[in-house]
Amino acid sequence: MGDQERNPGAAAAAKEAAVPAEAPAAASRISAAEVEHVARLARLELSPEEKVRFTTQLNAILEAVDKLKALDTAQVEPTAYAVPMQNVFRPDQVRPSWPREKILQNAPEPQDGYFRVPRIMEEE
Amino acid sequence: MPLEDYEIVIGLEVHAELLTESKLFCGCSTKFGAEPNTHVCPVCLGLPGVLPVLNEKAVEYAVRAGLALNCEIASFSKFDRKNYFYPDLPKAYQISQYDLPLCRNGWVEIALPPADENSPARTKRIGIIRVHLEEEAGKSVHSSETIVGSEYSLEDYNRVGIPLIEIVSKPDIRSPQEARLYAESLRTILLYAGVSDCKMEEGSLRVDANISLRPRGATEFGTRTEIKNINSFRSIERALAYEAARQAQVLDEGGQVVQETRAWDELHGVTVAMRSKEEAQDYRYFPEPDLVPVVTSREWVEKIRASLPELPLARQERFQRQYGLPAYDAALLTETRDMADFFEEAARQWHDPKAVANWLMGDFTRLLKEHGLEVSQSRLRPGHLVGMLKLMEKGVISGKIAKTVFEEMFLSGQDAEQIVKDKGLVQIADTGELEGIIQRIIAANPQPAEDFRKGKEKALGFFVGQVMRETKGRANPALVNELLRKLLTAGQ
Repeated sequence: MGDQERNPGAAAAAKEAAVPAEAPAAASRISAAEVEHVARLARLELSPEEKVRFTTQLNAILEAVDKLKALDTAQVEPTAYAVPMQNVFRPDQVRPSWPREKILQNAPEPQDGYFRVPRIMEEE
Repeated sequence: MPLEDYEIVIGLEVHAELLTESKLFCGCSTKFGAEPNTHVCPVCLGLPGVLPVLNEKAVEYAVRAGLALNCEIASFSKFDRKNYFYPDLPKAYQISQYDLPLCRNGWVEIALPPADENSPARTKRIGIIRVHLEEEAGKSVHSSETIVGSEYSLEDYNRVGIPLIEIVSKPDIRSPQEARLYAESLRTILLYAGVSDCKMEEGSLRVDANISLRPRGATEFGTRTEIKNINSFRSIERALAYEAARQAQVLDEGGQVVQETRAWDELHGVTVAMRSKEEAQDYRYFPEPDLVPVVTSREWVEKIRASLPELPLARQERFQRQYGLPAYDAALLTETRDMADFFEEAARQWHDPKAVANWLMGDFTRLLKEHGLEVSQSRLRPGHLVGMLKLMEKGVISGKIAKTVFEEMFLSGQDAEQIVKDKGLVQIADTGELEGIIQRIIAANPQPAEDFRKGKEKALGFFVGQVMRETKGRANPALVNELLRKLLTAGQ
């Protein structure tokens, strides 16, 4: 999460206000609590205003998707894929990896050729 | 109530790295032991704009493993994203398979130890729910001994993207010992199938165990815990025995087993709770949009099936039937395909398969271990062993000398005849030559000779030892005994 979200400045607040923060419609498909849950899973920290805004927007998206239900799909096979392709393979051949300096280029704290990361588990 | 009154229910999840040269979705090398982060590319890191492309060999190996484990192979299979945050997973998702794994509904037969020596061997079938293909995560090096105590960790992403199969068993396992036998059988089968090197010490085979207890006769499962961090076959049995006793105690004290992940602590021989999850795992699986589905043809699957070798249990049974080996020997010799092949090549050329088995299980196994070698790396080949057995049968060398010759063959790769000739190891079976040596020894040791004549049988052992020392073990033992008795009593 960037600093902007953590410390919403005046400009950001003004922008928030510009978005109609209407309460979710009664028939809403997704609750504010669900938005919070999903945000937590994605490690996103949302301000109260953002929670309202995203709840509204996500509901609008779901409503739009609902329109697809009008189509008769009785004769269509269910699929997870939009492109009718299968079995795209590569042969088991080794190709050069990248130089380590390039791999570590974006690491904030490289150390001895590793990516150094902060504490993984809190002490109980 | 005592642990015996509970039924233990165990299921294992086994991960095995596949033996491909390159990773599952990119061309980076899978070789073990490289400098950190030198087998990494943008695909491994999941940098924007990259696309994974599936390694065909990995799919073939996964199917091969599935067939060896008696699974049905899916004609249509797909990949899914499993989303979670952990530092060893740079993409923040693992490409795995969720609802349409490559293989389902298999089984492994394990050989249970017979109740006693005279009982027949028993086998038990352990069901396999699924075998799916997924990518490996990276390796974390923690700044202090334990992850909890570590202020920071160092991440090596060389392992990221190495192809893995996950083999999920049914909860058919009923004891820690069965769990170990099942894991060992899996290892043997995967080695035979040639799909993984299954080295637990290098992490290419990993075992997680789910275990619960229920009163005998109950049909509902109890609450289970998952045991991780098991690092050897021996630990499987130890960790599960500990955990079963722990759960029994919790239940006996009127408590409830908490569903949680526990880590096996090898040093202290206990399992400890890893931080329990505040919220249920929510991986938000969805179909991997960067990959297309895998469709397997019946011809392809049957071609792979036809290329599988005879599998361990079948071979073990045949070794008992065809070569008359005891079950124990057959099990030991079929543990690896290379050892079983070695045995068969030698046994085909020699009339006494049990003698071949003894040399392989004894001196050969010991020498391999001492020198840290695999059967395939041994300079001693089946022909060498047969050559030596021939010399023994002809009486050219004694059993004792044979041990020296065997070790020499192992070290130099020379054949037995050459070694016996070069080192002058031919057995002395010449009565005249031995008589001379024995007379000299008796003359030099009047006291023990006197003892023997007075009926002290033990003194004979002394003389045998002296003769063997003098001849460097080359004297024919039966002849030495005979001549000693004759010459020691001759003067009377």
